[in-house]
Amino acid sequence: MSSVATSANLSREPAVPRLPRGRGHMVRLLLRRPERRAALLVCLLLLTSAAVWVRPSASAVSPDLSKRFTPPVWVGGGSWSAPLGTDFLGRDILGRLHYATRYTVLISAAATALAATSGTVVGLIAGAQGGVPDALLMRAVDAVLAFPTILLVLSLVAVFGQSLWSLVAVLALSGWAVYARVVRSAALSLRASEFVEAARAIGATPARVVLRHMLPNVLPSVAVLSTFQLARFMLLESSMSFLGLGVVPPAVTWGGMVGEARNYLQDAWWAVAAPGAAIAVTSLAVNVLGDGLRDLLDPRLAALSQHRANP
Amino acid sequence: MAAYAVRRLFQFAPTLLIILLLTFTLSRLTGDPARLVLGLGASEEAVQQFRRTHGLDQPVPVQFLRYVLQVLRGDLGVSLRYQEPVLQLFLQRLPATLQLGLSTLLLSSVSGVAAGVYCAVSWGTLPERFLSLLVLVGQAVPGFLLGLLAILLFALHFRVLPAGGHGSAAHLVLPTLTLGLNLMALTARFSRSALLEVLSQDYVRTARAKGLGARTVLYRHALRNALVPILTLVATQSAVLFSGAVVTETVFSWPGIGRFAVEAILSRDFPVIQGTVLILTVLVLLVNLLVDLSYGLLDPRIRYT
Repeated sequence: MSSVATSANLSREPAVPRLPRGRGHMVRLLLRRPERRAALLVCLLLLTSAAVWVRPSASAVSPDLSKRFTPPVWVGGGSWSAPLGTDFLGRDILGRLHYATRYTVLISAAATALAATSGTVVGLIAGAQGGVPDALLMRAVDAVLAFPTILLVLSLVAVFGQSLWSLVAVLALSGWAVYARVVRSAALSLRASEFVEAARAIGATPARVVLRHMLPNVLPSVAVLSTFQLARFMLLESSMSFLGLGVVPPAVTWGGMVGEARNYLQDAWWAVAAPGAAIAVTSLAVNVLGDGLRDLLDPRLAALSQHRANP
Repeated sequence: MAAYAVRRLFQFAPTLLIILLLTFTLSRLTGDPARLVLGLGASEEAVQQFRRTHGLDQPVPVQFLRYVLQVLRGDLGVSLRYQEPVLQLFLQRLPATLQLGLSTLLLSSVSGVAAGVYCAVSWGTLPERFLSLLVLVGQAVPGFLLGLLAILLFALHFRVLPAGGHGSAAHLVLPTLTLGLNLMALTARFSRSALLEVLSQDYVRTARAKGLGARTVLYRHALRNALVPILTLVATQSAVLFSGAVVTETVFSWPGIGRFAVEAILSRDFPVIQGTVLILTVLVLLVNLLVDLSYGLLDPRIRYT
């Protein structure tokens, strides 16, 4: 690398296009690729579906054994009254999917928010403080990350019960450590940076340095991590519900629907396929958006997602 | 190197202690162990007697110390459901899980590295796009769904493979594929980028310049160095496998540790839950420790400071 960058040799490098600033532009940049537009559409549809809270139709929650195992419309024997067919109790699968969307989205979103907040706080404390608190907190992070996630959450749910908020808390408990680790390493390098030193030199209090100078700089990483965590929590929650340790009826999530339908796989494949497709499409969409956000906001996190494995 | 190993071991100890503290807390959160073991109908006298013999009347720190010493002696308690030592029950089910884990690791690492090498040599082509797609799908589709789809397709529709159980080699196919697909895609993508990075280095150019064949350069020069990070990934995955086995074993009724743990959780058999969580977590920690220590052996260029 030459040490002097003259305007002449700068202009000869077309590799990095000069980007106008501003949020609107980030969004346009994010949505330049068609698969990301599709992913955003899926997520928006989902949020709308979760937000539009109509009372679950009777056909979605109350059993009607005379209609059990009605196939979807496009298979012979189906009807438009249950476009995606009915399950082993004769409940309308489409209506049930809509009903389950709210719980699925709520649980994973709340768990992400909780894990992100607590993990960021821990990471900032460890990174900004250093010394003994840092060492202790990082050993705790090691310990949590070493636990087989699914076993940890399952046994905690067995202890704390299967209420909605206990599920959220348990998921968050399994997810804060990743945030703590990423935020801490960012905070460590920020602590040594000149602008933080300058802030300290003009007499800013430690709290002000952390909140006004460090926090805004770690937020992009937290945002990227959160999209991946959201997808992970959704998969984790669906695995838990599938194994029978999710929310209790009448509440249901997509994973729970798959779990219910599992024993009737031979009679009604559609009762597994519909919620299964919902899980797969949604987590695919969130992952695609996450990849996009990461490329834009924090490419260094790529190494992290390399090891991302399915629960 | 030796100093580094010692320091890592010193880090290992507090982590282990925190884990023991967590599993100990887990056992106390579940309610009074005496009531749990003796049942709700037990007389007050029997409960007091149990507390005395098991040291439950001592202060909590003393109880914790007792627990740590017990664990160090290999005593993980007695299953409430089977009335047998947890360790023994665990060891009985370990071979089945190891069998599944090893076959999965073999599939994912061999085919993953092969696919990665292929994609690195011919990048930007159709197979590479397919690989990216596979990675994405592997991340988005949960294991239980993949397993159910495999059962639906190969066991119920085509009737070529058993839907579950344990015994012959045929029983191994679907669980291995279910568990291994995601790992294979991850390994492939990782090996591709690792190999591409090595291929862009000067010594590879030197090797090409002195007239070595493409094959020799690829396998004798490039791949050898790329294998270091790949081996790390594979080792890390072996730890992740235990988590994956929990769901996969349940779907395919595989008589291993994963299903054992789920059954214990569903029947609230807390000593078993505690014991399995503890053993698996320590295994994961040990694997990570070994991986860190093996860097230096695999690649002499790496120096520990």
